[in-house]
Amino acid sequence: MAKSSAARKSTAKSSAAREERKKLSLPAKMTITLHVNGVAKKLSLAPWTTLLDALRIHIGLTGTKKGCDHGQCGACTVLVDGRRINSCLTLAVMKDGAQITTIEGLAKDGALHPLQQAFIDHDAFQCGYCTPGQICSAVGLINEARAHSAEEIRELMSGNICRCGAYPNIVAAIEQAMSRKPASLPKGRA
Amino acid sequence: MNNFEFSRATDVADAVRQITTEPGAAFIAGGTNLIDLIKEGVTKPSRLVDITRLGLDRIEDTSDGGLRIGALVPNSDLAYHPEIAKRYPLLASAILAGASPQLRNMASTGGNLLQRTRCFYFYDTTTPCNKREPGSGCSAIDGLNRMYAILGASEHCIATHPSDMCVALAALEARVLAAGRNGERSIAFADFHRLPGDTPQIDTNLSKDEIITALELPPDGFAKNYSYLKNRDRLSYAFALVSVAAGLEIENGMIRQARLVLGGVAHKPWRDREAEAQLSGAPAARESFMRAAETLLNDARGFGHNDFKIELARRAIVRALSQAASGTPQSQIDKRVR
Amino acid sequence: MNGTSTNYLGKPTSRVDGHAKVTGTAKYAAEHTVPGLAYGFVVTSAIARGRTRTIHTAEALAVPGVLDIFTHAHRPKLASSDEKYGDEVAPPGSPFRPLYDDQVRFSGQPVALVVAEDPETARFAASLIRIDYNQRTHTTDLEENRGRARGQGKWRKPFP
Repeated sequence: MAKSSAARKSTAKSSAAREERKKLSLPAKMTITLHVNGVAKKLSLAPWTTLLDALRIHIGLTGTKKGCDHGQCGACTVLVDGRRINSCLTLAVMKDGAQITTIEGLAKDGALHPLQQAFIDHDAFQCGYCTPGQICSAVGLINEARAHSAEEIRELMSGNICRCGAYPNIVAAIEQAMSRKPASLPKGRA
Repeated sequence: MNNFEFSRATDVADAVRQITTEPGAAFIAGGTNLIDLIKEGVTKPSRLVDITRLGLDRIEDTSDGGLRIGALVPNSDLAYHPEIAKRYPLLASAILAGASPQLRNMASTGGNLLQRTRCFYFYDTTTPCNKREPGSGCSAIDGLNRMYAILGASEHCIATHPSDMCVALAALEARVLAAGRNGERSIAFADFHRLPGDTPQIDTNLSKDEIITALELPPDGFAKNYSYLKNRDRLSYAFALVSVAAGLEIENGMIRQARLVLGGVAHKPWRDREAEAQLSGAPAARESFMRAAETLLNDARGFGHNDFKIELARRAIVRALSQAASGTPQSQIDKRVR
Repeated sequence: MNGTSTNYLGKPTSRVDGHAKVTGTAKYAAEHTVPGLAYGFVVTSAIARGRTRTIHTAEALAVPGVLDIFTHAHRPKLASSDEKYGDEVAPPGSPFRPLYDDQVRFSGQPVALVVAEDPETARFAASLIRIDYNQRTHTTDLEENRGRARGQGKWRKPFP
């Protein structure tokens, strides 16, 4: 049967637990600076903190999502020094000094990034949980400049999963955003 | 994750020093496998030594006409490097067949070699696993073994090596450069990964005190006639059921040299020299390919749920060799297998 | 209707929450921060059938930042009647009640919940919990056990 929490607390505070507490120490915190969306953020956190948790919990930028926490869904995709990565498999301390762009950093002075507008125009989401990761991944995709057809977009976006199945609209949105780029990038369908 | 200390290595000598002074220390570069293993409680290093600033990130020609690839070159940089695309397209193709763009941006060359099996029972710390805890048993042999080995397994372990890049490296006869307490050495790729045998807990022949500094590729990249064919449950972003790296040197319709390596079927990329020798001197035709497949799969055995891999491998070998022979390698974008 | 056009009927319309979702400002359940917000990590059963004899939580409770660890032996009062766990359209039968008692009914069944000040501390503390089980044999083969099924399904012809 359930004990009262007071009874449990007294058990936990027994001398045995006090001994355990002395042996178990958490990792010492480290001080790092992350440049997030152009703003320098000084953080004190344990080495085991992922970049994802640093963004969401320590800085409070919850736009980047935790989907699987194991690098299998892409919802945690952010850009680090211009490259798209999975922030759930990255330790924050290893990105000390890095430039990080999250979904919150794409709009400029209230104007949506072309990809954000394209996602709205093409209804490229339903629940929206994968959307920040999709958009950041697509920014990385366009920076990489290796996708020139719908087929290539699909393959090079395969690291982002959408349980609502908005894939056709996501591809269309990315094609729209790509076609707005200067002439150096080839347009849409190959 | 467990409570580990974190430090950075300033140079290779410092990295070797840090890894040898603390038995529970581990190197971290991309972290795409290691962080996952720590989160799942499969491995619990007492210290992570960050090796990302060692400057091992160059790709340069070697004096014998080959290429040296720094251990910290990200997988995506390697796959898209113009010299790789031109001289070693088999390697580029294999890299692009694996993981996702995000993971390829993070993962290092050295880390790709050292990644561990994704066997579900290895990952599930509540089940017996000889790789995790020697002597505890292998849950996969009588379990759900659909993804596991049909070649080179032992009664102690039927896990497979998950890398695509390594299958191509085995076919290209790469060498692994490592630095340790006793200096530097060069390890033939075929001797880098181990079979499970009686020691499934040991994946590679790299010593605990060693760090991979680079890979070296010989001059021959089979750039004219190659293919990397990967069969898996999804079109993308999934590990291989069976993959084939094929490289041929053809003259007047006859095979002068062949490389044939399988992924997804063994504890290491599976290369059969006998099958390759059979191809050498034979016509570049279907009958030769089928004979090579029979030779390679002669000792293949399934464990109940993965018996299908044997026939799948037979057909994949023939198809990959045909693609290589006709100079039409499998595309990693257009997934149709032609 | 005659040819009058409409503002919204028959026209694609952007979602009202579209702007929030594409800018990362839409808040999902886990993103409403309140003072003193805590984080949980679920410990699941290592066996498929049996019972948890002892759940050793002392070591985990001693980790700084851990607020509490709930098990069947330490939890708020839970209702005992099936009706309390369902609504008007709930199917018949007894629903699963998390942490209700020491019975393990399926592989991966939640058997403990660690609550801590941050998620990594909760995950780490959970790794320190040791559970002694009384394990019973389990079976997962439907065909093998068809003869033991209770009741008989009734097939009904679908409406035309």
